[in-house]
Amino acid sequence: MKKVTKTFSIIFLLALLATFGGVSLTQGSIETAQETALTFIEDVLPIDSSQYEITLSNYGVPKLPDLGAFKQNDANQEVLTYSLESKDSTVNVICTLYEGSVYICQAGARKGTVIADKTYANTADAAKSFLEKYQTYSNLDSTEMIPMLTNVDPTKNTTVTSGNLKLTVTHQDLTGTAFGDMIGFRWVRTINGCEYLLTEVAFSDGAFSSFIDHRVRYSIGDTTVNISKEQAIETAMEYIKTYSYQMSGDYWISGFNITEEKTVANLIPTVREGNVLYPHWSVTLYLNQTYPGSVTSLLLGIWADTGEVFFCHHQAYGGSDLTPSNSGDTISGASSDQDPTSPPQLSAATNDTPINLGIVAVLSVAMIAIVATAITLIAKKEANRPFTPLFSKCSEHSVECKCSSTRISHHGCCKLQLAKQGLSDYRIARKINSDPPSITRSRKNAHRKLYDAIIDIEWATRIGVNISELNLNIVNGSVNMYSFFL
Amino acid sequence: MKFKAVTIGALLLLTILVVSTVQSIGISTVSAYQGSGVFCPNRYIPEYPPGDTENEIVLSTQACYYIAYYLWEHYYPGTCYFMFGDPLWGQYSPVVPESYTIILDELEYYSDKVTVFSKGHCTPWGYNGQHYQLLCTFEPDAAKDSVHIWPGTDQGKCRFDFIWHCGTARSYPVPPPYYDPDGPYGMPFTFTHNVAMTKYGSSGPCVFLGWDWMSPQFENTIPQNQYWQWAQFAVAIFYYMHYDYWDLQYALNQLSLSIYGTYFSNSPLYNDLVVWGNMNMALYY
Repeated sequence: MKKVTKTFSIIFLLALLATFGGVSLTQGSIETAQETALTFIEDVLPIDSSQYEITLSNYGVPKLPDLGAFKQNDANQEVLTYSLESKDSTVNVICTLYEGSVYICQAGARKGTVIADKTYANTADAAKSFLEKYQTYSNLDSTEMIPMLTNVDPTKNTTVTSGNLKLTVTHQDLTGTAFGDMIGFRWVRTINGCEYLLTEVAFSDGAFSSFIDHRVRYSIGDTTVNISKEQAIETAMEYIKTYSYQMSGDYWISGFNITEEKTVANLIPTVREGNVLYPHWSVTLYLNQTYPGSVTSLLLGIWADTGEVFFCHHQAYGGSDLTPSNSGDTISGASSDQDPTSPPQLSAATNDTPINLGIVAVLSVAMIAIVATAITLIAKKEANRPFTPLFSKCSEHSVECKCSSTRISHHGCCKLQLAKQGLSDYRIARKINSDPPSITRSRKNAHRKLYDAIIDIEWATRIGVNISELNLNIVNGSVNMYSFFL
Repeated sequence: MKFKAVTIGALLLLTILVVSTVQSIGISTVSAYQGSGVFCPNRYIPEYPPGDTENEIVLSTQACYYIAYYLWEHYYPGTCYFMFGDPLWGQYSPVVPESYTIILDELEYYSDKVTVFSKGHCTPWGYNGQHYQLLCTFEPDAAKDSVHIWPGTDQGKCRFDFIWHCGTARSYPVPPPYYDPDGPYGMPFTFTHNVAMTKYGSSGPCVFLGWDWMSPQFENTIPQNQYWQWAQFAVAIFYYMHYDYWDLQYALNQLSLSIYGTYFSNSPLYNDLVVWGNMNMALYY
């Protein structure tokens, strides 16, 4: 007990200290990232930063949930969202840093137009200036790429090659859409027929729009290509003779018939280990019919040097009776962007609020403490309460309902089942022999249960419990084996 | 008992601290409730496609669970519904056509604005094949655009809709009189009740995302980048919009750059994953 009191005292003191700026838990890393991103915005982007007040509106280290076998290597990334404000112009700039260097950047005007740092002859000129400044900033060698922009007409789709370097200029006039008049400059290095992306920079309506530099993140490994396209397809065809996928339980699908003339094989680079790229054949074998699970093709990855199949996966789609030929064209009609119902726009400026790092720290500490306390309290109180699906009968209609605690309320489930039986009137509270407060109560109760479940899952994730296993068991209905699922 | 008193005391203290800190720094809060509904019908019909594999059902449920969580957290204390079908183990009630009607109607009843995500299958039906129906957990249940979606969204509050089913971006725009012998048609119109959304637009009060043709299953590998599955793509959109407060255009562009190494309009997604309406809308709108 003494320990608990002591722990909370420490948390409270930390919170107080953080409030007054005495403790900054992640201040160092954020400051470094901020400095990098700000230098990029001020020194590289073709934006007159002196005209703007630059505010960091959000800092994050993305950690996408682990959903199964495929994992993104999103570690070592930091994402900084800036708001650049001037009297007549608001621009958002989002910088994604990989191991401390700018890897992706995108920008867009959300009010007015972007104020450029100088007048450029055209977007090719702007791209050239951008690359020159970027080279100075990053020390990444762009000397081969820059001259390729000379005499390029950015309004035309063009390809320029220099040795094994290829520049593709893509012009899409999407004026009237959110994209505007898009022009992209993309450099790839072609080695043994495989294209490795180096850099891409894009402009919208003449202003900087996006940038990615794969050189920051990836290196090119062994570029050997020993396997031809035909050999790759042959290997794929052979491989799928023994391939099968699970429909459910012991029901496995195998023995595929391929429509060979539709087969597609592309030589593209992919990561084999670390961040090193190797060429591989991506082979898509289209099936002669839709197989169980809506599977229409098989996708295989084959290393171009060894010919080894390193993955094979069934590909499925979400509909039948829906092909380009029978789904028809869209019907042209209204063009103005007006809303007939015109609901009022309510302002919610949370994302525009400048963040005080000290406050972030205190909020984080406080929230963690609250969640931890809540879990402790609930866990102590209800650790032995099993997860039990609810069964009962609606008194008025004698219908058996079956619900779970993470779903809508039992009350709501019953209403659904009643509706399914022909009671299609959907204004539940007013149409059944009940009253609105009861409906509201059951709804809020369901929310509370969902909240509990989410808290538990977050907590379980933090302590390393396999969530995929948990979710599998949710649908299996044996959640009660987990004591933390309350 | 003493433990309880101490912890409750600490909890209360910290809650007051958080509340007062939030107030003192003037973080803006939404003055109106926003609601959200996430539907994952799941469908296991091996002999009669479309249907899902067991893995697809588990993965979709997981992914939708995360999306529901992000929306719930973003809109707290707004109303949030998450409904998934369980065709294999039968532990939970199925998603039926009326699930859409009732839940959407309830969300509109209790919220000022509603965000919807649904993942599943879809087929055309009705007059001239221009109507669409979201297939539910069991055959032959399907939520028809004019029959089940339209009545549930009659208040026009479902202003952010991502319907991850086949062909849901089709049959839009709709010309006057906006209906045919089978009623109002097309998912973009029946979800939003808005006839003026432009393709990949940048203004207006609504946004609708759908697939022009076949929607990929969540367990599919993205062909151009086998380290990504569509489930992660779907979750990542809401992840970035929730945690980074990005609008839809930034979220889609970021994912396009990460997965394809190019911006959205230059990626294979363009004109396949169609956005009707305002791409500059974030989760708060």
